[in-house]
Amino acid sequence: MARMGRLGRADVDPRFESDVLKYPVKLNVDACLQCGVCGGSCPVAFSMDYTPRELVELVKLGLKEKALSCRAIWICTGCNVCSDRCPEDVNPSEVLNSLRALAFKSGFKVPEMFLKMMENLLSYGWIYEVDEFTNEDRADRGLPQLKPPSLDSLKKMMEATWPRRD
Amino acid sequence: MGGDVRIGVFICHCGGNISQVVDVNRVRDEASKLNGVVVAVDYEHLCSKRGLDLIKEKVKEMGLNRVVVASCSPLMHLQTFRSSVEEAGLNPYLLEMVNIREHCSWVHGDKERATLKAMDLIRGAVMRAFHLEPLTPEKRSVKPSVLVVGGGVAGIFASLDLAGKGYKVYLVEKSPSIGGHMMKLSKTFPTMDCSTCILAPRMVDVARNPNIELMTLTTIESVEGYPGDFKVSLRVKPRFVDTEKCVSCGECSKVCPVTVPNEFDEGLTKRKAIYQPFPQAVPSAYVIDSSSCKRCGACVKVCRGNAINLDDQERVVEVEVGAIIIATGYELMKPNRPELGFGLHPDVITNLQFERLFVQGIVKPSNGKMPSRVAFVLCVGSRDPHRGVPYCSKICCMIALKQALILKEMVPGSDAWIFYTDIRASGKWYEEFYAKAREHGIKFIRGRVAEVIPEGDKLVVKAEDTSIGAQLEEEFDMVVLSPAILPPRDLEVFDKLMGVGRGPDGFLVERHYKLDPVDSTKSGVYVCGCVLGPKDVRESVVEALAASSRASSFLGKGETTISPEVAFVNEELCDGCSLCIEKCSFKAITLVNGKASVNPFSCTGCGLCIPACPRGALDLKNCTEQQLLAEIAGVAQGYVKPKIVAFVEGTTAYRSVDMYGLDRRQYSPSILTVKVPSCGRLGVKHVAAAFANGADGVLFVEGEDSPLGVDGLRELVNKFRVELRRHGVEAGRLMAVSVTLPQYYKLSAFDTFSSRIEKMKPLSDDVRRRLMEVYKLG
Repeated sequence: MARMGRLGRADVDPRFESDVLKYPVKLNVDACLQCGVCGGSCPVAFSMDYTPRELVELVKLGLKEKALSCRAIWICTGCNVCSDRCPEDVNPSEVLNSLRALAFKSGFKVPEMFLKMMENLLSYGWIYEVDEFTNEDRADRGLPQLKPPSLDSLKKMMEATWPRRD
Repeated sequence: MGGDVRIGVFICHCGGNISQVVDVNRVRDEASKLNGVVVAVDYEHLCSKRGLDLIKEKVKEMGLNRVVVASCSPLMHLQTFRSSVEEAGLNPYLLEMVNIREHCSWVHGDKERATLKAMDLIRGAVMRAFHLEPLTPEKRSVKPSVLVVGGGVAGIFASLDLAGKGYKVYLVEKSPSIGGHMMKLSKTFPTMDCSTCILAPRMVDVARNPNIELMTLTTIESVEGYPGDFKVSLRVKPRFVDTEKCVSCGECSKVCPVTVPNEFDEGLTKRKAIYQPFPQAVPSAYVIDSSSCKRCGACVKVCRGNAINLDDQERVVEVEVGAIIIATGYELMKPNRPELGFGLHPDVITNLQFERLFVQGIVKPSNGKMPSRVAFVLCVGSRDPHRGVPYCSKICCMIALKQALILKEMVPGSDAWIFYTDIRASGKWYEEFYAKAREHGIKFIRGRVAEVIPEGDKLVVKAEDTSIGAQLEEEFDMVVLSPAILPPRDLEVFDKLMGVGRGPDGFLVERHYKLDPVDSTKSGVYVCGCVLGPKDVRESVVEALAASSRASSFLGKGETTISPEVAFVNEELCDGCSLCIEKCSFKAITLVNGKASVNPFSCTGCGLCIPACPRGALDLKNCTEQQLLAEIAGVAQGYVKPKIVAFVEGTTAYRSVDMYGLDRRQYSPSILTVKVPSCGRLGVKHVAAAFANGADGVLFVEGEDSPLGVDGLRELVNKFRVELRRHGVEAGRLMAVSVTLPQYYKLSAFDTFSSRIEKMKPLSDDVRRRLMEVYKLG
């Protein structure tokens, strides 16, 4: 855990938790019992400055600055294993998604890499290239072929959901 | 009751508590004019010796045959006044009380309206008093015997205690031996007693006690009769071995060709199809497991005692008992979590299996070598509403501490790590035990285990150490899981057979969580041990002794007295449709010769069955249709305008309204209470009667713990709304309020409702007339 130093009332944004909860999927942040099964399960937590469990606690405490300026929210791969195993249906994976959207909206620094991935998505329909080799490999494994999605509908979707900066 | 009705009305000043708000002189004069009233008296303190004497004198002097006392809450002094009229030679059920203190003078500042309200309330009581009838509590003898279901430590202690008090006990166990889970344990925390050593002698006591009839391989088939006299039929599975002849020499087992996993060792060892469950088993005899026996007959040939009979048959045995104790224990959840490796790697085991390993010698099931590093994983399924159960299994923390300490002692130099969510060590000497574990170098990692990954012959445990926010991957030789404790699988059978209720967690539920902790929801049936919820040996024994005590209090007098305030059937009207039977959650109604029949011992008098009858064949003593309709009419007529009739359930809700008064919380005198056993006793006719006779609003107040329940009340009131709307009564004129005693302040809903009704116009006379006609209330 990153050292917290001394926290005071000035660090707390009382509206932060409700902002995080304004999200299309239900997030049971208040039910979290800090058991840590999310942090233990996370395949990338070793490189995070806050574990998913700690991020949930930051949200509960209203520590907006810490939560939105950290690296961890951009490291999450969205694999969902934390949400699968969470006993209280806190849905940490989606909590991190909500934090990413808030970070972008509130003008926090978004890693170049992440923006690049979004650009790729808009231009090609993928965040990384799907070449013939990939599809051959999938065929060998009996998996269906991947076809690029319709860029038009993707664009519409992204326009509708992309968080606006304040 | 025919004849001349002579009612005396007695109005109490309550030393100013009533008379400073209610003008008792006017109330007395008004009461004396009511039909049937021959005398109306007011007095300073009716509950005093002189006040009670006054009632007795008037009863004799004026030849009264009904008494109405307007004073405090009946929950306070009903018994006092009943006793005094009984002393005057009247049946105590010919007394009626009106609450003009808690429900009137204490809650209203407006003296004029409070006085008018007291008059209206007394009118209701006088009109009801016309129809009162003498009632006598019934007495029946009880059988001095008890059926104890379940032969674990709770069942054993309940049986021994009852047998010691002289009761005949039938101890029924579904497996071949008594002993239960406790016999599988190595030591018991926190005293580290040898579990077998402390339990086995008590099992022998059971076998030797002449008052205990032990029946193994036995389950309950049916339960008939009533509390005090249950007729229970029991299904006894064949044992195939005569327990009298078997000397436990074990020759049969040696020649048996069938090998199956041994359930006593939680599948870690094997046993034969003919086997002794464990060396200290009671009864001390072998048994054949018919599901795996191939009937080769090899055992029969070697048995020198001629004890084996392969043609042994199942039989049904009938017993008669006065009371029943249910002590069927618990089951462990199967920890089917692929990410935790259970079932995938032999060295990932449950804590109960680990108990058996202590006895077998601590070795890894995979290779028989001693483990030097063991991880204990807590909360596998417990405290996990998402994939397991929401509750805490309570004993796993202490089990892990105990097992870690034993491991440390038995395997020198070994490491024990406990992965926990919160260590729960709140019991006598438990925190000290936790401290001892820390001093012995056991490592405590606060974090729920995410994964157990087999790597060669090691197991890697992955978790977040939440104390430092770091991911942890540690290698172990063995992993011990703590599965959630579940209610036994077939618990619903007790609901089906006897109406014993279960809670939302699936365990049996006590009659009152705090104050009736070993009474089931059914009279004469008691519960103890883990069948109520996870607990340790000590608590199970405490409950077993409590259940024994409760059962003997019930049976000890040799007879039971039951309240006469129960449902009854008019057989001429009953067509046996059974709708009432479905409605009764106490299994008090059965079909006898095609007619519904109410068992007064099981009936609690809630009255829910009565509106369920489409033919009006059911009624309730001391709250009959006639009595109720008369009271409603009396209260709804009269002076207070606008008028709200509040039906108040007689236990929790009535007490809540009393508490509200005790608190002197003020509300509108428009609200007049009518006490009913439950709002579920009411049909649409009663609500219509309130409106037809003058009510502008009707309120329903029910305790959340009543048999009707919160949802039941809501549904009922919605039904009334839909039906009455057709005759012009707006839905807003009906309201439901559910209360619990500690939340009696929820009755501030009185204000919401009265201001709503006061804003509405009075219900029109047309609608009132129409209701009179439609519901034949004239």
